Amino acid sequence: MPGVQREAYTEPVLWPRLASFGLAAVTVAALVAGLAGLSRITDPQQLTAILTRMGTGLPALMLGLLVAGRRPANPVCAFLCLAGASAITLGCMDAYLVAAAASGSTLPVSGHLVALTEGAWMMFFLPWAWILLVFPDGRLQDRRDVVVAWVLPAIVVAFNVLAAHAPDSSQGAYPATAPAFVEAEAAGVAATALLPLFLAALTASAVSPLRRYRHASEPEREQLRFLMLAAALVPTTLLLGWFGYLLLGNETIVVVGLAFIYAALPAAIAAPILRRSLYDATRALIRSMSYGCFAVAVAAMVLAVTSMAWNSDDNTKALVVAMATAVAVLMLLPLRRFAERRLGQWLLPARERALEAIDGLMQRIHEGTSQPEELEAVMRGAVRDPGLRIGYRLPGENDLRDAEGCALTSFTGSTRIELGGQTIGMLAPGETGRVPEADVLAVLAHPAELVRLRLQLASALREVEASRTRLVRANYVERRRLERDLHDGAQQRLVAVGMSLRLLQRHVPSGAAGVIEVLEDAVSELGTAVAELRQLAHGIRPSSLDDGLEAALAHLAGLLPVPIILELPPDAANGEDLPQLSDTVTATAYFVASEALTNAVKHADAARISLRLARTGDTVCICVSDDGGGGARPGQGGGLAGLLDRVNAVGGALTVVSPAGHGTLVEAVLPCGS
Amino acid sequence: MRIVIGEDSVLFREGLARLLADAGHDIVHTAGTGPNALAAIRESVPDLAILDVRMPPDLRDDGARAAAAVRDEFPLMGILMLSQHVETRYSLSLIAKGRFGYLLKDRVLDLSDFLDTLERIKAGGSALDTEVVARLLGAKRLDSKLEKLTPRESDVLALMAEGRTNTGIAERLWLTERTVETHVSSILAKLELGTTGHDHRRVLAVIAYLDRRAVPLPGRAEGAQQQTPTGSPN
Repeated sequence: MPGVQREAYTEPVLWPRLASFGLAAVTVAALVAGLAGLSRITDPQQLTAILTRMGTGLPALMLGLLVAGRRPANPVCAFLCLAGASAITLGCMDAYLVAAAASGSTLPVSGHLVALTEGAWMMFFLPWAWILLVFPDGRLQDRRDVVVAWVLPAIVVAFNVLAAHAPDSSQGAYPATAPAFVEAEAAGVAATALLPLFLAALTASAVSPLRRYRHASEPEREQLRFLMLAAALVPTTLLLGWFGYLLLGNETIVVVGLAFIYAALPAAIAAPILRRSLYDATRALIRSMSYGCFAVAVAAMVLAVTSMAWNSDDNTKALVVAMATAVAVLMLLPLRRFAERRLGQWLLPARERALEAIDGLMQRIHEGTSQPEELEAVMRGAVRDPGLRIGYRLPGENDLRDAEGCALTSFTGSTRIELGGQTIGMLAPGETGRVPEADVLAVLAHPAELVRLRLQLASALREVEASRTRLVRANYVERRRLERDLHDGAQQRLVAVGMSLRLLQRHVPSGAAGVIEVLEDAVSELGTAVAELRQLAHGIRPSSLDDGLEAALAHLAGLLPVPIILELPPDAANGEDLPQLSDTVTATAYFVASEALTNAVKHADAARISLRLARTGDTVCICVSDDGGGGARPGQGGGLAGLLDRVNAVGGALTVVSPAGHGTLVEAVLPCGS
Repeated sequence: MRIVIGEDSVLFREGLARLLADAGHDIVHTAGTGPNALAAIRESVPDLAILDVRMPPDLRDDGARAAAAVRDEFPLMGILMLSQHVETRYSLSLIAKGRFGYLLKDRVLDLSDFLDTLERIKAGGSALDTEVVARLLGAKRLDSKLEKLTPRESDVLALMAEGRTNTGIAERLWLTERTVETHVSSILAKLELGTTGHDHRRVLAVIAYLDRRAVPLPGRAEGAQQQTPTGSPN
């Protein structure tokens, strides 16, 4: 109910753990005493009965100790231990008393104690009632529950005291005990009157989880569902046990059913509390629950069939039972898996949603309608946690990156995503603080690995592109340097040498005509050498590029043996209106024009070839078109392929449109300022 | 004559100065940058200024700009521009005013020719490097008039464009002057230029004709026309 404070049951921490261990110690002591008694019991049936009763307490005690170890602050552990301890202790007491009765008076028996434990059977109910009141987080809901929680032990104590004073108090074959206490009729009446009160209190505690469910958060509801499951099993198992008893005549099946309850109930209580650290146990629990349902269904079918053969003799009955069992098993086995899945969905809906969502994502990835990078969004939707984050760890790095490759920081409180023994990523929950189960993480690893691989690939591609751009740029710088060196160095020196030779020539005495001729030849050779150097330099990097792209293109057009229609931007006086192009872009544009024009002249057999240069604020466009034969393709290792590489390396785009017989268009669009 | 040399490469400058001095000219000043050359010319007012197109500080068209300034201030001074590589941009804009020459630097090695060119420029003529002329003539024209010329007439046309006199042409082609004159008339008629008479004006006409029909050049000072393509590619 809103507005009601939730009160902590009692004060601080760790008393549950102390109580649990204390109870365990008491149990051990009781066992020691009980063994003394057990050793003297001769009747096997009685022995079995007592041992079975003791055995029912074991699962509760063990699980209680387990919870005490992991969740020492939760009183549930103490109550589980109490349930187990009381079952074992009372069983030991019974054994002791039976042995004492059988062996006469050799064993000491306290009449007072016997009388006072008249209502010991209530201890079979009290711990469970307390568990119901505080499950799952160990706190009482409201004042009403507090009242109930205190009333219950009060009733137990009062009943025992009153019953001790009632007539006919000592039951059973425990002789030699005179009534230990003063007997009064009223006490017996009062004691009996307490019984309906006890029932009412038990009912109130049984109703408490239902009330809690209405106001609980999603995780708490999941835990409460485990309890409901266990609670549903109790009457079912009992009913079936009784039917079995009716049909088969012995009470073994009832006992088996009870034993099942005594094991399943503590398990159903401990599992959701320990779930975070014992996920596999929860799964095992679900599986065993489904097997339990399966067994129950088989038993029901067998019983139904057998009941029809009620009146046959034993042999026929046995045959019928056997056949019915076989048929039932075959028919119901497929339903068991279905039951397990449905149970899983009901008890652990987030896990089911997550598994389904991941499965759906992988399916869509295979179909090509989704990207692996959607994993984070998918998980957020499935577990209803909008703050959930997934980080990926690339090999060779320690940092985490998100799906876009940006580095992530502050990834605390996260779990590892592992594949093949390696950590490939981390998952950090949002405000809910819930980390998905281990098997969800295992399935999640596959799309996560896909994302990781794609990140690696993208990163490698970026490096390749960067290195290609660097190479091309270095190439241009190198060329420029070479051209510079040729001009400023070699050519100048050769001309200077030539001039010196000319000077010398003029001063050779007129008689030495041979010398003059030799010098003449030498200078002529020098002249040729200089011309060749000029050609060479021009081939490496035309010097006209220094004067700007427009000048270089005009120069280029002039070099060709066929007329070129040149379209340059208006008012483009060395590109003064627009920002200066970088050397790389200028050189690339020039090479595109040069290669395309050369191709057009050589191969196209065109009547008209045109070269167009256009500039916008941030792009440069070179376009060479002709009306020749077409059919140009950027083939492997051809000139056009080289252009493609150059243009791509500066981040531009090259288009070649060359349908056969309809001319060719080569267009390069380059970004400025690269 | 008195000459000022503006050239930033020391090797070339000193070599040229030595050659010219040895030939009898008076090297009044040498300078290594555009502004310095201009200052030196203003100060010493030579008969001829030899300027490199590309000089510090800008290393683009400093020499050309200096030449334009010189032409404005000294209309009668001869200007010879030297360039490392073939470019038509600076050469053609200044040639209209006469007393102008444009040569590649390695032309210096043809010493006798070079010296003749200097004289020609001072006398009022013009000189255009063979390579530049070849560039103008080399590309096929959209205009078919040039194709009407005979090969011999093409040669003569080329030499005319270089700025040579009839005598010079006759010498180079081993023809008589008379033959050369005939060729020239024929050429002018075929190209429908119609001018006769003064060598220089004739050269100008030819060059202007060739230039008009050539690819358009950006940054031209005068008479720049973009050729309108017949039928735009777009």
